[in-house]
Amino acid sequence: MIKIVVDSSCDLPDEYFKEKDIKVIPLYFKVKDKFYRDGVDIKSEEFVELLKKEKNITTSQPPIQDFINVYKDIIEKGDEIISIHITSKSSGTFNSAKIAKEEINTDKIDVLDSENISVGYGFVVKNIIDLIENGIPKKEILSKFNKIVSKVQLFFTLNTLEYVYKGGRVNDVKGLVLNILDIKPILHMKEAIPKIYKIVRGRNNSIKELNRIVTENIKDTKGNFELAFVHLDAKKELEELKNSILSKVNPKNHFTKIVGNALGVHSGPGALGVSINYLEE
Amino acid sequence: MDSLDKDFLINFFYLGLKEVERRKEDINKLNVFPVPDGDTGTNMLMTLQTSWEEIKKIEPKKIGDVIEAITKGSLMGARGNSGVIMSQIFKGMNTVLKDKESITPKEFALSLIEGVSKAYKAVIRPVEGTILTVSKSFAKSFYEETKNEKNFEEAYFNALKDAKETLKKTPEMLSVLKEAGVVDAGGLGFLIFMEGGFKTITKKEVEMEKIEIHEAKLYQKLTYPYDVVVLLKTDCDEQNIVKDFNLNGDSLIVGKEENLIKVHFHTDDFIKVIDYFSDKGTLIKVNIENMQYEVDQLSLKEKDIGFISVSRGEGFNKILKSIGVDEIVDGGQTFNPSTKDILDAIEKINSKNVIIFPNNSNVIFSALQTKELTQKKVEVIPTKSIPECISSLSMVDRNLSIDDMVKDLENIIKNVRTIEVTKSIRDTKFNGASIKKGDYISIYDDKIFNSKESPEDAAIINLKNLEIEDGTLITIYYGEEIEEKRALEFKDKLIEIFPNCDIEVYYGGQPLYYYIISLE
Repeated sequence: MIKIVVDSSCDLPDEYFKEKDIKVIPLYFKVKDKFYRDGVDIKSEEFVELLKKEKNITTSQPPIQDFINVYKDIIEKGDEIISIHITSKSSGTFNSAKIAKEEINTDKIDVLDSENISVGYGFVVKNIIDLIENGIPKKEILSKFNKIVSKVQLFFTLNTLEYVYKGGRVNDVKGLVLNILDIKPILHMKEAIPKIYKIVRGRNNSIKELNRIVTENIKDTKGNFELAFVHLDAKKELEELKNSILSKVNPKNHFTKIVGNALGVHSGPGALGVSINYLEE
Repeated sequence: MDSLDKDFLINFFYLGLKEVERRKEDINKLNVFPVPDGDTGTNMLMTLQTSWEEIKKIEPKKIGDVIEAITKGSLMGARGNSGVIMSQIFKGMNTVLKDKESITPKEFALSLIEGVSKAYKAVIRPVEGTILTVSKSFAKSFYEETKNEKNFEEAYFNALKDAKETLKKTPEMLSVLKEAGVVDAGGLGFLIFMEGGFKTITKKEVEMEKIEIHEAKLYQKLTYPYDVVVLLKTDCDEQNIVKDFNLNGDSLIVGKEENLIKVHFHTDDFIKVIDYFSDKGTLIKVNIENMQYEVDQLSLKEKDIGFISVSRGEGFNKILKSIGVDEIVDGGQTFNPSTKDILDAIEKINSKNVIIFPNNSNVIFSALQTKELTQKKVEVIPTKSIPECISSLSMVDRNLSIDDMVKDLENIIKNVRTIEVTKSIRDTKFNGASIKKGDYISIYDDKIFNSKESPEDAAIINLKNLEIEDGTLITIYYGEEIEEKRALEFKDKLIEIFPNCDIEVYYGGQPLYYYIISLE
C-alpha cells in the first residue's frame, strides 16, 4: 500500500488527513530560542496572539531524524511512501526529506516537490491521492507529477507586509513600501515561488481584486474545478469573499482552512487566499 | 607521524562547538542567504549541540565511535540549511572513519573531502559562495598539505588560511552577499568551528587573521525603526523620569536642558513612548524619524528607470520619495515649473530611462517638450494630480520594461479620481451656481461644488454627488493650513458617511488646497 507523508505547510481539511491516513511532519517555529512544532504544540488562536505580540519568530524545516522516524515506521509495516513537500525554493524541508530517504537507503520512498504552499500544496496532495484511489500505478503517477503540479493555482493577499518582509522568503516584495499608502499586494505561486501578481491599495480593494482574479481564471473551465479558501485571523472577510465567489461560480468541491503556524509566521494575520484546482475533463 | 584517536576528536569537536557558541551572534548577523532570517549561527550551534549530547551518551572505544555519534546527533538536530550541510559533512566523514581505531592527519583530510562531496550531493541545488565552497576549499587545501607530508599543525593552519581567503571571496560568487556587504554566514560558521577545533592541535596561541564582520545591510532587520526625541517640562529629574520606563527599544538617552528634560529613544512603537512621557509632564516637542526609511533608500539598487514627479508640499514630497521618486521638481497649480527645471532633473538622475509625472494638466506640455532636449529616453505619464502619481507608481510592477511600465501606469491612473478643495478667489458663476469670493469650493473633473461653511463641507457635498462603490479607497491628503486633528475628525465624518469604504489620511502639506482627496 502507498502511504502519503506531507509536512505541516500542507493545508487540507482535518477530516481529510484522518480519512486518508496522511502522516504530517511538523515544521518548527522558534520564539526566543523556544521551539514549537507547527500544529502540535500550540492552538491556532494562541498562535495568532503570539504572532501579534512577538517580533522575532523564525521558522525552520523539520530535522532529518523526524522524517527518518516516520519513514521507518511506515516501511517496517511493509508499505511504500510518497512524501510530498512544500516548494523547495522557499524551504529546506524537501531537501531534508531527500536526505532522510537516502539515510534509510530504500527505493520504497518517493520524495516530491509540490512547488506550492498551503491549500495549493494541499490540492497537489489531493490530486495524487485521487490517482492512487483510481488505481493508477505509482510509476505513472510519478511520470505525470509535473502536470499535476501545473493544475493548481494559488492566489493570496496579505493585510500587512511586515511579516513577509521579516521572514525574508518572498524576494519579490522587497521593492514595496512598508506601512504607508495601504499597499496590499496580491501574490501567486509562479515557478514555485510566491510572486507579486498585482499591487493594489486598500484592504477592500485587494479582496475585491482577489475575487475578480479567481472568478476570471475559472470562467473557461466549464465547471471542472475545485476551490480552497484559506485565511489567518480573517474569518469574516474570508466568509464574505467565499460567499461572493460561490454565488458566481460552481466548483465541484470546496473547502476552507486556517493557515498553518509556520506559513502564518510569514503571512502574518489577515492573510487571505484562494486556490484553484483544475480537474481533468 | 601524528595519530589522532577518539579523545582527539572529542576535544576537537567540543572546542569547535564552544567557539561557535561564543561567536554565534557574529554568524547570525551575516545571514542573508538563502533566507535572511538571521539564525544561521543559532541553527548551527543547535545542530552541534545535539551531536555533543550523543557523544556524551556513548563510551567510545575508537575514533569511529565518536564520528558515528556526531553523525547520529547532527541528523537528529540539524536545523537550517547550514545545519543540514554540516550534518552531511559529518556523515561523509563517518563513511570513511567509522571502523577506524585512530587515524592519520591525511586520513582526517580525506574524510573531510568525502564529507564535503556528500554535502554537495545532498543539496538539491548546490550554490557556490556558501558553506559548501568554504568547506570544499578547506578540505582540498588540507588534503594537499597532508599529502606533502607537512606536519599536522602547519597543514591545518594553511588550510584555515586558504579557507578564510575563500570566505572573503564569497561575495564575488553570490550577488546577494555582495549587495548586503557580507561574507557568507554558513561559511563563517564552518570556519569558526574549524578554528575552535584547531586549539586541540596547537598548544600555542596562534594569531589568526580576524575576519571583519559587517552586519548585513538588510532593511527589514531594524528591530526599533523609530528614532524618537521627546522634550518635556516636568518636575521630575533625569533619573526618576525613566525609573519605571520598560518599553521595548534601545539607545535611551536622558538629558536636562534648563528646566526641560530631553529623552532620546529607539523604538518600534513610538505611541507608547509618547504616552509614557505625556504622563510625566507637559510635552513641548516630539520628533519622530523613521530610520527604516533611510536604510531602505540606501539599499535601493541603481535603477534602470528613474522617476521624476512635480510636487508641492512637504508631506507629498516625503511620500513620493518613499515610493521611489528620484527627483522632485517644485511646482503646482499657480507655480508651473519650466521645461528647463524638468530637464535639469532628468540630467541629474543616474539612469538612461526617465518617467515624468507632471501631476497637473498645465505641466504636461512642458514635460513633453523635454523629450527632444535630452539624449535620455523620456516618457511622460499624463497625470493631472499628485495622487494619480502616488497610486500608479506605488502599484506598478517595477520589473517591467519602460514601455510596458508606461502602459501599466496609464491604465492605473484611469482608476483614480481626484478631488481638490480650496477657496474661491473671486465671484464667479459656474454651471448655474453662483460662487462668492471666499466660498469653499471642491473641484472634481469639470464640476465645482461650493459651501459657505467649511472646506470639509464642500468636499462632502462633492463626494455625495459622485458614485462611490463599496470598498473604494478614499485617501485624504491634508494641506499646510489644516491641523492633523481636524483632518482626523474629517476622516471620522467620512467613515460615518461611507462606512463600507477604506479611508486613509496623510499629510500632504500642499499650499492653497485644504484637501486633496483621491478615490480608487
